[in-house]
Amino acid sequence: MTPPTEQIEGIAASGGIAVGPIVLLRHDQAEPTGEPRSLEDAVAKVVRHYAALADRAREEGRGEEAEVLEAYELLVTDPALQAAIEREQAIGDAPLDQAVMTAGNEQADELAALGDEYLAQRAEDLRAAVRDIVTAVRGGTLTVDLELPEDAIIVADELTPADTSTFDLDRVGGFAIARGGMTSHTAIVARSVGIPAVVGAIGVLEAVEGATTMLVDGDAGMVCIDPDDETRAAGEERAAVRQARRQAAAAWHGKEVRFDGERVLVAANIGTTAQLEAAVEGAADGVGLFRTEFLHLESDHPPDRESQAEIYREAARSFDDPVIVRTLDIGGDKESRWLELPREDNPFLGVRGLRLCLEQPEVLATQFEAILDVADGDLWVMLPMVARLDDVTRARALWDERVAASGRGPVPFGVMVETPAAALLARHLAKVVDFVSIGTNDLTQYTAAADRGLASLAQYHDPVAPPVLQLIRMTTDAAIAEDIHVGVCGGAAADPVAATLLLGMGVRELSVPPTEIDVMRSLVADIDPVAARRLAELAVLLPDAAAVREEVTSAISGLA
Amino acid sequence: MTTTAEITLTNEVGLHARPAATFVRRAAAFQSTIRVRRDDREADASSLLQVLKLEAGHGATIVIEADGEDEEDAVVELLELLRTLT
Repeated sequence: MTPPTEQIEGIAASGGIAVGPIVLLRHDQAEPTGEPRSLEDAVAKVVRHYAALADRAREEGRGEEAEVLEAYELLVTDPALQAAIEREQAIGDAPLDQAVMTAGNEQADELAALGDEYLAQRAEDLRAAVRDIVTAVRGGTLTVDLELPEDAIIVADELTPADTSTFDLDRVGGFAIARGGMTSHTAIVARSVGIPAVVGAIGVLEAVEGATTMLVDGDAGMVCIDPDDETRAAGEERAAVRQARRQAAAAWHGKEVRFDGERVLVAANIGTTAQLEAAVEGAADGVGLFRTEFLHLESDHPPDRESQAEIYREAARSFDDPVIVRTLDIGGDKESRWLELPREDNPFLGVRGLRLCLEQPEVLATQFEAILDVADGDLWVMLPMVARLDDVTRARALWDERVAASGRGPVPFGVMVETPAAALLARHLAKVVDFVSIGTNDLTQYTAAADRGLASLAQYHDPVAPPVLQLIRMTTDAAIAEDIHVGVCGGAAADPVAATLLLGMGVRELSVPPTEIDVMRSLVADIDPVAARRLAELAVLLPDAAAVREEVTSAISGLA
Repeated sequence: MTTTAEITLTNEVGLHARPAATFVRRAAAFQSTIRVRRDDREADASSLLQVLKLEAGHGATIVIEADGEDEEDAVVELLELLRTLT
């Protein structure tokens, strides 16, 4: 009898499924020692190594990676590091490699201790660079080309840019990384080249001991060590289904789709003018969420009415379907260059979004005026971060005043439902607005009280968790009762399982990243409305997100 | 003699990330000894590690102090660099 296949859960950092031979990258293993080098020679060797890798990364069009490698050159030659090594050597008579290691880690610890996420990442860079100096001091060789078997699954504690530059990404099938989160280096590289990756797979290094192959499921955030034939076949089938779904979905490009006879808009989420182009290319049914923060982040003064109107006009003219402009959602974690905002201990719970706009009504008034200046297309306006009815009535009063002054007829005015309070108030909100759009990312984080930026809380971030679904259901029920439009603009709109439930609850607009438009169109077209409605009824009663996913995927084939 | 100047960082990230590396590379090219101070913290301008530890983000005011043959050029050029950082 074969032992049961071992699975480890992590964070789904880059989608897709891969099966292949395990290649273990260990940073802590003792290097084969050659002739020891002096510190000066060792550093010079490491600098040449990074320079060569940076050149190669740049030639191959990975500019961001090249820049990181160039920063590594600065780190290994840093005078503060050099001084720390000398101090370390002067204290005892530790061998040079020991002194480098101790001094390097001490410097990295100091950097990490400042408690800033960015500096913590640089501390990891420093540790990686120090390891390379130690290797060079010991007379070891720095890997330039790691020979990889076809479809290699790279298993490591964490990868640095220096690591990812040493192998041919074309031969990598997937990544299984013990540490890191959605914004770690591996996650970014994997998504940019479309390689499946699971990060934060705690324990994966220990688990692969003696194993030869691995399945990486970058959609489910799971790796499977030495998968048995059955698991492997199931994984390969899912990969094939995913591929086939993408190909089949291309047939839906630009077509209208219906759910139970009613038109469903598959719109795009955009936040820059470049993304507007991508949405046009993807033939989106309008824009379900036009984030306007970029107008404020790119300049050091408030954007004026005319330049804002110009940008909204371009978007409105690009589509026949509605373009929903979300008013400024700045503050807290999103900084502005011209607004002097006080530091807050809990920025996600602070003076952000609509709260900030109500404190600075002239900013909101200018944005309202710019939206009303656009007579082309079908432009709607939407408020973020609503938690009290009063938030909406105050903003609505300002809006109505500006609408009256503009002499225009009614322009749809809506709110985002992204706080539990807004969902619980949906009955009242639906009476004073023309539409609602559910922001599932924030709604999920606020419902579970789990910071969505924290990788270690990934299990709290699933939008199909029954508490979140109940809040969504209250919102859709209220919208249906008042006969107003209800959309979803969070990550759930592009998640097949979640989208099935959303459609079943009455959502008639899914706003998704431009790359997902066709896939979601084909899902809407294929779904059985009776099954979707039944699943929506059932899902809110289940105990957890895993049970919901199980129920939906077993009822509707081809979703997982 | 030393040459000193004070500047408030107006770029988005301050002396962080890419701007910090650019600043350190430029500072290291001068003969003069260059130091950067922010409140009670002080850094060797040619050390990325020390400059990062200043945590001089957007809106921080820093003092640049150069001592050496090209101290005036150094301060003028570094101020210009900091003003044009994005």
